[in-house]
Amino acid sequence: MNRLALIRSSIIFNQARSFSSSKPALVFAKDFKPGPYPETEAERRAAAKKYGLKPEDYQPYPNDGFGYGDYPNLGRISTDMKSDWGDYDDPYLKRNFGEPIVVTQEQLTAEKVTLRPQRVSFSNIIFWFLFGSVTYIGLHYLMWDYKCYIPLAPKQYPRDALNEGEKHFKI
Amino acid sequence: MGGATSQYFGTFSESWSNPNVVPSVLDKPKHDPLFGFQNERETREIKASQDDLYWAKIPASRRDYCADHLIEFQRCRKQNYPFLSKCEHIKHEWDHCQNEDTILRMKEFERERRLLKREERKRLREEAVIQ
Repeated sequence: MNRLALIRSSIIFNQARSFSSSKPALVFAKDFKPGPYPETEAERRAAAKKYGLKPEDYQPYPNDGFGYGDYPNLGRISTDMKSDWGDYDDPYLKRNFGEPIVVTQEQLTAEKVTLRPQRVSFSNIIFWFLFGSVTYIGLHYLMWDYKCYIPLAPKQYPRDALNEGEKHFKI
Repeated sequence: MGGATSQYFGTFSESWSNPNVVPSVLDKPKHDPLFGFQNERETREIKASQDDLYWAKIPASRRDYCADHLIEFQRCRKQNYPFLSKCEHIKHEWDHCQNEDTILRMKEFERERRLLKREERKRLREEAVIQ
């Protein structure tokens, strides 16, 4: 599934390039490489157009040595955070034609991870875990001297009555 | 007396409130088994000897007073395999023996409880006389 998604998104990515430049006959890995970090306003506008974004929406990663050139920072949006009910061209990635994808898209498909905020906070989870543990372990020790049992005498075995050890009688 | 369940509840709730009147389920009865009987009590017997149990490979937990029925049942199973429904009757006998054994355990427990209560009554009467 992952490989399929990569291949498919690569094809769509290649189509997105055709907005700004002519579609190459052959596609190599270097064709997928983003351009250099845009320094001037004109470069920013060109990069925004290249990725199909409005100039005011375009925001590259910071050029601190760990960035991705002119590739846009689309925010921490995973696939499952998008609406389930949109009429997408690619329902698997919830993506329309020409729409840029986030850098870590292959890690963020709907069946893998989510970047949604947690519904229940971590401290809440810890509180209820400790509450349950203390309740049940405390009950265990509170009721230690109050056992419940079926009122039966211990079972009699013939081996205990051997050699006049003890005697077993009928009632 | 109530039903079986209320008797269970009554027994262990009494063991919480008045523990020296309720016998232990883990320890064997401490009173003399012949106490209060004018005649000799009938002894429990088992047909199978310890050697029979050994050679029949009966596990230690099953070597009770119903083990001879169990040996018969296993023999029947071995001879009639795969028509095991022919051994239903023998299995029923074994089950019945286990049921009787459990009833005996209930009676032994009740006897021990009543003897303990009798001792408690006597002790309280003596204390009342002293005071």
